[in-house]
Amino acid sequence: MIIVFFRNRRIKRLIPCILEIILALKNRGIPPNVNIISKRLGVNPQIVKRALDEAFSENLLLKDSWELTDSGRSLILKHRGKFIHDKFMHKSPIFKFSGTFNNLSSHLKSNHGFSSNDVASIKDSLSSLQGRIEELMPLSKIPPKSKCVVVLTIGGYGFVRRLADMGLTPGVEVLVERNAPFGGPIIVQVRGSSVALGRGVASKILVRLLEA
Amino acid sequence: MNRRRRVILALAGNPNVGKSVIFNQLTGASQTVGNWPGKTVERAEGKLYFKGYEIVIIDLPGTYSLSAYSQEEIVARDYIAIEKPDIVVNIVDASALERNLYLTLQLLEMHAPLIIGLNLMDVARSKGIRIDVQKLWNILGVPVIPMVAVTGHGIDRLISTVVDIIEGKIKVQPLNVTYGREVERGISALEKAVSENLPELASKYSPRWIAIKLLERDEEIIRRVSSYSSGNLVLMVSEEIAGELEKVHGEPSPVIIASERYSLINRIISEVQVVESKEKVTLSEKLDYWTTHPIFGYIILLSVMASIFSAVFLGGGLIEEFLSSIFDDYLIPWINDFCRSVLPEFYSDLIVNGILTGIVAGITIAIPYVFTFYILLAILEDSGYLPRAAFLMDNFMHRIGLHGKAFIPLILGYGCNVPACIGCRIMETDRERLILGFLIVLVPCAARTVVILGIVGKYLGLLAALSLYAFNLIVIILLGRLLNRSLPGEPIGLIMEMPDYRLPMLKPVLFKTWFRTRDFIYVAFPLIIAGSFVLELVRISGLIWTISDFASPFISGVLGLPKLTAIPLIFGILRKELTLIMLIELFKSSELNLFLTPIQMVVFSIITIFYIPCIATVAACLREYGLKRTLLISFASIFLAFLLGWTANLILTLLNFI
Repeated sequence: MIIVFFRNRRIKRLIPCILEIILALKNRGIPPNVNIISKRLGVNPQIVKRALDEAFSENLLLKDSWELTDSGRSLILKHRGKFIHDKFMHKSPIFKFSGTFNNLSSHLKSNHGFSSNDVASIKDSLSSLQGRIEELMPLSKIPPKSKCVVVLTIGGYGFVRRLADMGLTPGVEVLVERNAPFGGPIIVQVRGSSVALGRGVASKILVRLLEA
Repeated sequence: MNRRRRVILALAGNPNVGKSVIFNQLTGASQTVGNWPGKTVERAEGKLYFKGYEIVIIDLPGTYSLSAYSQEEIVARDYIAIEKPDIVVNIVDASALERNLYLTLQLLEMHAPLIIGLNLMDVARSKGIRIDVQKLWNILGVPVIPMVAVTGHGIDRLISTVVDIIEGKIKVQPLNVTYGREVERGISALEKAVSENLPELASKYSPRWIAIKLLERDEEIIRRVSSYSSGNLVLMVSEEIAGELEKVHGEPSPVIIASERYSLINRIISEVQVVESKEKVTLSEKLDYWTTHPIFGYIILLSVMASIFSAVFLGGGLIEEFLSSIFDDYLIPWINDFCRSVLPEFYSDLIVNGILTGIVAGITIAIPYVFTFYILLAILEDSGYLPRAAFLMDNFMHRIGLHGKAFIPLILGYGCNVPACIGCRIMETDRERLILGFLIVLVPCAARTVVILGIVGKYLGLLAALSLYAFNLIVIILLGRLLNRSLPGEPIGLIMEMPDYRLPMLKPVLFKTWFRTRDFIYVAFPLIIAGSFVLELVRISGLIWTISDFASPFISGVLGLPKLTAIPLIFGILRKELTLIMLIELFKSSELNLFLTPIQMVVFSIITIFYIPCIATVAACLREYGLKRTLLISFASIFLAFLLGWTANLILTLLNFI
């Protein structure tokens, strides 16, 4: 009984990750199948199969084409929002968010001081992300002397515009020069100039690490 | 032919590109420095005569972009859009072309009559960057003049090009800044809505520019558009178009537009710029490495701060001593004798103690401390060290709700609040400036240190004096956090360019120092003299006793201090050391412990530390914040002082009973 309960819970948690991978694979033009997904996730193919069945039956994924349905897409949005929120916005690992993306946006407004415009801007970035959110790291966690590519910036329109004005737009390559210990700011090379970013700012810039 | 033709030229560019050096080269000493109307943004203006032209040069604030991020950006773009200068010279850092052209594209977009001053060619060369200037000229369609401003190279050519353009000898065909297909479609649809519905606004700015700004979700332009009755319709259209763009591109619309600008820049750069592998590490890079080092950086910061302190307060102190000795030993007695011989005592007192003391107080503060501080600040600014200090202190300053840049004014406050208040302008937003202003007036300056040591330190021991300092720091931290929570707006994180190190040049440093000092004198002196005059009037007329009687229920009843102490507290507004000096004069004894209990000493010191520092600081605040905020800061600090004095009295008395 208990084992079944935990296994079902695990499968439920896997579904958004699997959807993310399918989306990423499709974007790269690779037809998704169970084996690739299980390799990517490091999970037994049997379990992936179960999770896929669950996703088909809940109408998150179309059975033949493996296209995501609207509810599948909104599940991904919610998953990404939750990931960003739990990982970057709360310092304590205990606080976890559950509920739909709409719940999350009202939570962002009431507890994190974002305006409706800010939340709209965050939603834009999240829904467009190419690739899996788990592969991204905040710029603040990148060790010195390594290169990375900015994938998305999280924040209100004013904040993302300011970063863009300083050259930090999605797709730009960034070299981390200094990463001060104990929550200090970092220095990056971007578009030919050095820019210092406070820790809070750097943790809202999600990047993909390039090989050193 | 005799009449000179007047040409208005605006200098625009990123911060740290040598704009002010070029401004000084062009204008020499014929400058006026002030603030932009209603803003705490420095406005410098100068004149140049060339080939029968009177060229008025406006130095616009240095900005990275023309969005509504800071006051500086709004000032710069409104000037270009509304005042329409005849020529805009965009100073561009040749060693960081990619980031600098971002502003250039926005200037082209505003249809500013542009000339590019491609400065720092020498730095670019040392970094192995080679730029095909002619090709850049052809692509941008406006003149590009290579320059090395510190040596004056290119200045003459810049000016003659300006005149050539005015006279129509050089034809310009400015590049049309175009975006991707979807964005262009959105812009032209929105442009149409703007010119149909907002003819007034569209005649001020161009409709295309408004459309782009709306798609960038520029708060300032949205606010202006919505102030028209037909504006809401336009905003709805823009919201719809922006939403569509976001759906297609999957990024917030300001980011889409910025990305497209950068991709245009990259296409231009790939045509005109070649980066050769550079062989050696430059001196600036070495300095940068050590001054941002997690250990050595702090050691260097400590020594820089220590040397500034000693320079300002030892050097300044020496000059002050010298100046006061001239006044005290020669000028004042001489004027005093002269006045007494021709005027009745009442008037001569008023002149000598009122006006003259005010002038002396002004000169002995402004010249030694303010001037010395301004020189050092200018050197620090021009060398590029300030951003490094801000980088190192960012973490700590976040604990009081500010970011790294606030560290420098705050630490200077321990010497004198006046330069510290003026230093607040290095913060980007109004909100940060206001928080910092509040905190700085609470920092115990050298004068207040005299009081703390002279009363609490002398009679209650050094430990008690140090704990007063600690108490003060705690109050500052708590107040900083409180203000940060309660003031509207979000605290901004640190986003700051780290410019290359540069050797500060003597002339720009002296110019900057002189203009700022002169500006300070204009604002502060009238206030100091008037204040000292009024206080003297109050003293001679005997009103002082009435005031102290009037205040006695509060002073003795609530704060538990002797009635007489109201007088030194009032005169302390002139200069804080006066509280100690007058206390001794009033009791006619320097043995204060005979007249004050330990609790009274502590309460008196606390009030002296916290209430509005001195009239010179008030003047500095007035200069930086305007009347309303200065009054707010002044009264808040007086209120805080009495609140803390009252609490201290209450708690200490209670502890005493136990």
